[in-house]
Parts: sequence; structure tokens; C-alpha cells
Amino acid sequence: MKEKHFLDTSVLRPILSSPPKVKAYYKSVLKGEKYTSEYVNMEFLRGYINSAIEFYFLLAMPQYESFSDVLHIWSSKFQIREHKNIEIMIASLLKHNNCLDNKEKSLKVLADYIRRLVGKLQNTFKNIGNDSTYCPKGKLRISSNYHKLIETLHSFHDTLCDNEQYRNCKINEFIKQKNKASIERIIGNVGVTNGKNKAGFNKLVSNLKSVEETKDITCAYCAKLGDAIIAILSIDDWSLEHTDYSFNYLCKILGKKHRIHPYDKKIMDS
Amino acid sequence: MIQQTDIASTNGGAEDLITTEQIYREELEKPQVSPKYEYIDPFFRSISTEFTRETKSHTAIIIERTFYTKKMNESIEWLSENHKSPIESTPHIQRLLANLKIYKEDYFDDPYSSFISALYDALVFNDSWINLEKEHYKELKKIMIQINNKSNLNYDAIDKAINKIEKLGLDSTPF
Repeated sequence: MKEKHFLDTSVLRPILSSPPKVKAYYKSVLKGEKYTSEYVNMEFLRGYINSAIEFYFLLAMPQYESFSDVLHIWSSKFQIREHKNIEIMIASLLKHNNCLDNKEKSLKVLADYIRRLVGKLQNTFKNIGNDSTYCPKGKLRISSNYHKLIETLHSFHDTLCDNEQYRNCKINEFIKQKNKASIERIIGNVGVTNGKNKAGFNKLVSNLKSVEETKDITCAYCAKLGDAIIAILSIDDWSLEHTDYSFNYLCKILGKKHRIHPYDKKIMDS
Repeated sequence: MIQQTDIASTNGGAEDLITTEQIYREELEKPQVSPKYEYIDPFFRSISTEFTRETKSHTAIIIERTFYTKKMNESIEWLSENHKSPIESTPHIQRLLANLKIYKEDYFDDPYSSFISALYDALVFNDSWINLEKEHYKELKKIMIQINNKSNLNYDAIDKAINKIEKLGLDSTPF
């Protein structure tokens, strides 16, 4: 029987968007069926797509003439998730289309590619089927006609940044009721001793402890609990595929099968 | 009103070509639909007016699309029947890629160019066109016919067509 892979966002992103060597690596090691969930999709849209949209609107600012004008600002002035990977993607895309110095063409090409990535996300992977967070942001699509594409990117971005969307999901019930026992096991570090690369896990535990004092888990707060949520969603004998050390601890505590992969840079340097 | 399927279902003979050309010329000579004089946020207008105003009628877009798809399909048809090795097929592959590139760059106002752009990127990046076999071109022919025959093309249909390209072993997001 084919192995089933549940993809964390840290692996979903390079499968969809990364240099050929990285994609070849994942193609060689993930031979079974690949699954995501609305929550994982939301993390990809919020972290990668939204950042690409922000780059788009930065480039669209009237004072910048080209990609290279914007690159410096992007890299030095903003702390953006995935900023390096997005730089690589956009540079490669614009170079392929011979429009590094053509702002208008760059914007068209980038808008279309962002749309294409979102479409590919929604059409490529199977759904794990048990995502009881019911995150509405994970189902977002860019489906408008071309002439409204720019406005759609605008509102797409705004929806992903909207901190009040938690009122349309079940994250509070997911964390505080349905999976309370699992959360307590994680907080109690049950079965886990001290180890290396534990800083991310420790921070996650600290955030989970603070949930008790939080009236509502908003979208911003939920973003700090992502690894725990995904580990809980993972089905026991499926393999949770990731690059984050915190999952090493989470999956040990929860008794979930998992596999850690190298970062893009390490694959490229190998 | 000219239906897209009326044009797509022609047999491709000389008479049909003349008829299509006549329709094409007549349509282009007609005054184009006036741009909508709505308020355009200067933020968007500073990017390009092309982004915010429809400059061609829907019929003109359909005619141009069908014209170009016919040219692309001629190459794909030949490849689906005759392709043996990539180097021998270079004249036909070159023509296909050239038409794909023209369409994706010059017809950006047609959402169909989103599909064409994905196909072009998938074929060209890493020289993936070299790995295609005759059977791939046969499948590609079916995909092109299916998407071109859709009278109301939307992005959901485009994404599904792009997904079919992926199943040929091509990567539509190679960057």
C-alpha cells in the first residue's frame, strides 16, 4: 500500500515553489500520496502567497522603476516570512520572462504567477479530511476575471491579514475543548527529555500555556500555535513531512509518525 | 453574435479560413467597445491603464484566441502523430513555442493567456520539452481542444487545465 504523506507547510512550500534541485529531492523521497488540510493551506497562503503579494504592491509603488530597486528595500527594511525564498522565486520568474527592467511586464507576470500558485495549491493535493479547525482562509481562491485581478489580490491579501476571521472558524473549540488532552500532553512535555534545537518547541509550549488566559484565540494568536495544530491533525500512521525541529518533539509526545527534511539551502549545497 | 464553438468546429479548410479571416477583419474594423469611464483609483492606474479597462470586445478576444489556438494546434497535431525525437521535431516545437510566447505576451487581456503562460513556462523551463513523447502531445492536444471549446472561460477551468498539464510530468510553477 502506498505511503501517505501529510505535508506541513515547510514542505508544501518547496514542493510548489522552489528551485529544480529541491523539487527533485522531494519527488524522490515522497513517492506516496500527498495530503494537506485547510489549515496547512492557510499557512501557505498567509506566509508565502501574501508575502509575494506584498512584494507585488511594493514593486507597483510609483517611485520604483524595476525589480532591483525594490529588492534592496525588501531585503533590508522588512522582516518578511519566507523573504529569501520569495526573492529567489521572483528573480527567477522575471529573468525567465526577460523583464527584470520592465516594471509593467514584471507586474503582469508576477500577478499571473501568484494566481497560478494559488490555483495549483487548490488542485494538486488531497485533503486529509479531518481538519476540524474549519479555517476559512485555507479555502481562498483567486477566481475573478483578469480585469479585476489586481483588486482581487488586494482583497485576498486583506482577508488573509484580517485578525477577526477567527469568528468564522472553530479554532477555539479545537484547542480548548476537542484536543485539550493533547495540548496538556504537549505542555507537560510528556515523554520528552531535553534535546537540541528545542527553542522553537519551548516557545510553542509557552504560547500554549498562555491560551488558558486568552479569551479568544484570534488569527494572530493561532499563528503562534500552528505546529501544534498540524501535529494534532496528523493521522497516526501517516508520515508528517516537515523541516521544523519542533515536530520532532511534538510527534514524539503525540505518538505520530514523522520525517524531518533538510532546508532548501542544504539540498542546493549537496 | 458569433459563437466561439462555431469557429472552433470548422474543418480547417481554405473556405473556413477565408470565412474566419473575413469575420476577423470585419470585427476589427468595428468601433471597439468604449472604455468604461468609471473612477479608477490612481493607485491602480499608475501601474497601467491596460490593467483596468477593457480595450477589446469579447468577440474580438475569442476570434484572436481561436486564430492562435489553431496555429498552436497545427504544431501539436503534427507532433502527436509524427514525433520521434526532440531534435527531429525542432521545427514544429519551435513554431509551437513561438506561438505560445506571442500569445502569452501580447494577449494578456485574455484569461486564456494564463493557461498559455503556464504551458509555455512548463515546456521551456529546464528544457522540459526535450522529455516529451508522442503520447504527451496526444494528451496535450485533448487539453487544448477542451479548454478552447469552453465558451465562458474562467480561472477555475484554467486551473483544472493547468493541473492536466502537470499530469503530463510538466511543472507549471517551476520558479
